[in-house]
Amino acid sequence: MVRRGAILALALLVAAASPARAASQLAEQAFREGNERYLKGDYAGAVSRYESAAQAAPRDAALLYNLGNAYLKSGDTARAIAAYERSLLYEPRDKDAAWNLGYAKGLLARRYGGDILKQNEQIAAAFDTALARTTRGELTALFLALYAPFSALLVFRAIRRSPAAARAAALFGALSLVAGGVLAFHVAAYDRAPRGVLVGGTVAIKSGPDEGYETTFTVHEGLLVRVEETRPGWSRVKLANGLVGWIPEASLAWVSRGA
Amino acid sequence: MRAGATALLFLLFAAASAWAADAPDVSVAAEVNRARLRVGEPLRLIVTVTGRDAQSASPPELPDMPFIAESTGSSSSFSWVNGRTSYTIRRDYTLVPMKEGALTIPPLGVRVGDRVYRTRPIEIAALPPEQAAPDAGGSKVIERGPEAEAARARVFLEERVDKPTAYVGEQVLYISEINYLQRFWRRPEHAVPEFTGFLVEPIPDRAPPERVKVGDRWYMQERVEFALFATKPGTFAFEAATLAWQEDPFGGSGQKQARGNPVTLEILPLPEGAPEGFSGLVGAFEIAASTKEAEAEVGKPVTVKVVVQGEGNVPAIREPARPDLSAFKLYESASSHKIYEAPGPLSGEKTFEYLLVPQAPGEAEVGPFRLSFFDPAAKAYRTVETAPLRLSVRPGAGAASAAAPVEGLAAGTDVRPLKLVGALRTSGDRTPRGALLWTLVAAPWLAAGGVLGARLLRARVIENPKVFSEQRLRAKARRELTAASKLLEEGRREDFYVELSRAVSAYLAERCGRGGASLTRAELLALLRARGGSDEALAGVARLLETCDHAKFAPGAAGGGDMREALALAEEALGRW
Repeated sequence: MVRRGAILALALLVAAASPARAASQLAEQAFREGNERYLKGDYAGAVSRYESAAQAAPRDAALLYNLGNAYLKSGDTARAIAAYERSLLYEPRDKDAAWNLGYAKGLLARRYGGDILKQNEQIAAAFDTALARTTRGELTALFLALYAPFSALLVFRAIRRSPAAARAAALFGALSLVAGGVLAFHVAAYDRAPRGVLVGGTVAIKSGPDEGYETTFTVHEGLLVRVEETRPGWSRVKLANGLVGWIPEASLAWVSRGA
Repeated sequence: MRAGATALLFLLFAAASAWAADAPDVSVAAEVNRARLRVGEPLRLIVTVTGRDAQSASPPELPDMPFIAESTGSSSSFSWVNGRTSYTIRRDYTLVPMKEGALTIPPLGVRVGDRVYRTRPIEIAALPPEQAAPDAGGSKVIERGPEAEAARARVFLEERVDKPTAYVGEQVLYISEINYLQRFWRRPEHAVPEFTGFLVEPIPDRAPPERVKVGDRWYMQERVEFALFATKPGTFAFEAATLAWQEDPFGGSGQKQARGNPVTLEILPLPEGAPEGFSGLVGAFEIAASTKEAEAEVGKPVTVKVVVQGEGNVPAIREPARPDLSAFKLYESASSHKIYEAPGPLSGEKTFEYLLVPQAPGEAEVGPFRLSFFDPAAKAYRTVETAPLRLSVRPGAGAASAAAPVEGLAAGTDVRPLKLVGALRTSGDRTPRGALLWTLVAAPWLAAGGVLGARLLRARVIENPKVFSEQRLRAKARRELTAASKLLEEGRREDFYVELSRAVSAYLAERCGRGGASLTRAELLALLRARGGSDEALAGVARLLETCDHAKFAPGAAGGGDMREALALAEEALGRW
């Protein structure tokens, strides 16, 4: 009886794991096919396969990096920028992704002129901070690394009256408080802030969510923006310099939809 | 006196400074596209509001003036220089003078916050209708012949093409003219035929509506134009265009429709003898190449622009044939096009940009880039080419730093290669967050609290048993009082007094160190007195015990009010002893 129950439990576990494993295998196959197509020069085909793989592995930095390369080679520089930004979310200090991101921005600079790029760079500068290049996981690890000794010292101090333990607990407590504050800011400013990259050439920013609204200003593709609100077919975006307006859904490539 | 004047001046200066800092940063201007015209002809008035606060500017207030005025649109733009944003709001109006003579467009007021900014007045000379208009660039009044007399409808359409015969790929202008006596309540729906077999490029709106005279009636006329480029030879017949509109603002009279006329077009095949590299481009084009740099350096990129400019299907111009560029490493090229806002057929320019990185020092040549097309005016194929660009290339300083790819795409660099990793990361984010993180944060505090709690308990139970037993005793008595109060609520009078008496007597006996002993009321009061109880406190206890005894042994003697008083006395005794 016990043996039969164990077999049944094992079968249920295998059945539960199978769909996830199948999706993972399909993603890996699509990834390999994307690589092959890229190396043969079929960049549009590579984009298609990488996008398919990204459905199952949306947090894989290497896949997103390769997707950026494929977009770049197929001529869609703005979507390449979005893919590199996504890749850097998960591997923020990947030099290759940072390089290719700069390369893609350089291409846009030459396409639209240095002044436009400078303007876009100035607008994007507020997003491009050292903190933005750090992951939530790293900051959480830092916080817990400081909080763990603080916790141990706190309990130790509760058991034994030790002035040295109290001082050490205060030090680690202060450090973990700072790390916790930075983590909280990162979560609020980056993880929970949906972001995207403008795509499709020159993007007209409207004053409302419809083509009939007045064009407030225009910016060129490749610019990183914060998404403040979405409605069917439209998104309200905010530039780093505070300007706000609506763009059609088709003009936005998502980098992060927020936590 | 002098000090007072100085202080006054300072105050005035401070007030002026504050006012200036507070004042909106805005300037307003108005201009017209023509200052002399005939009665009935339109002119364009453009009001521009520029400055930091231009976004909050109201539309201009149009005062009474001797013109028919209509808003024809608005646009806005912004510039961002040195961290400061400046907006430009432009509003366009079409004005039609109603009488001849020297007319004035009065100052137009634009409100920004609490202030109203005004434009300068503009003088307009309106000539009688029969005089010739002196402005060559203005819109024309077209006198229609007797054949148009038939067109008596309030709205009618006319379609035509600018040439009856064209070659494959040659630009043909399809013009649909919408003529109307009254303005529409809403934008009418204008449908042109499907131009099957043609590439179609809409011509942007370039001119305001004109006034045309048909017989003895003046119509407003709007033109909708398309540039058509045939993809195959043959005879093509386009159906009539249609216009649908509402007669009244509420649609009560239903939708009206006007139809134009069909148009026929003959398309000829291109002649034989197309040169090598001919991509099907037809029209008249020029080509030029340029670079900003006359000198270059090995490894430093040089941008070369090749501009094809002319009349024809500009967006479809393909990249000119490249020269030998083996002396350079060629990076991705980009193209963009611009349509000119000139009246007539579609014209513009297409720019191809190349990023070239010289590979060796010395003199290098870029060019010629060649473009072949068919010229329908000359009925011949033509090939145009750029003049070669000569570059003097210096030896380079080596590969550029990997830290600044944006500043210049350095020599020997390209997109960094693919990452051919093994397994993809398909699992979710394992970073502790939410409830798990809060649990991790709370755990040490709970542990420390537990340790402290245990220490406190230990101190009370082991190290100070008296304190602990007192607390336990008081807690027990309180529970019994609570039970008694429930009996009171249930109206079980006798049980209430028995419970109350037992709880208070047992508690007080324990407090006097005689727990478990059966004491009379007098003995208990004596013990309490020995513990230093005041007369008032002793009287309270005595009254309580007496009430209980009386109620137990003389049922029905005490009411609900007495029971509550007894309960209050018991609680007081617990608090006091």
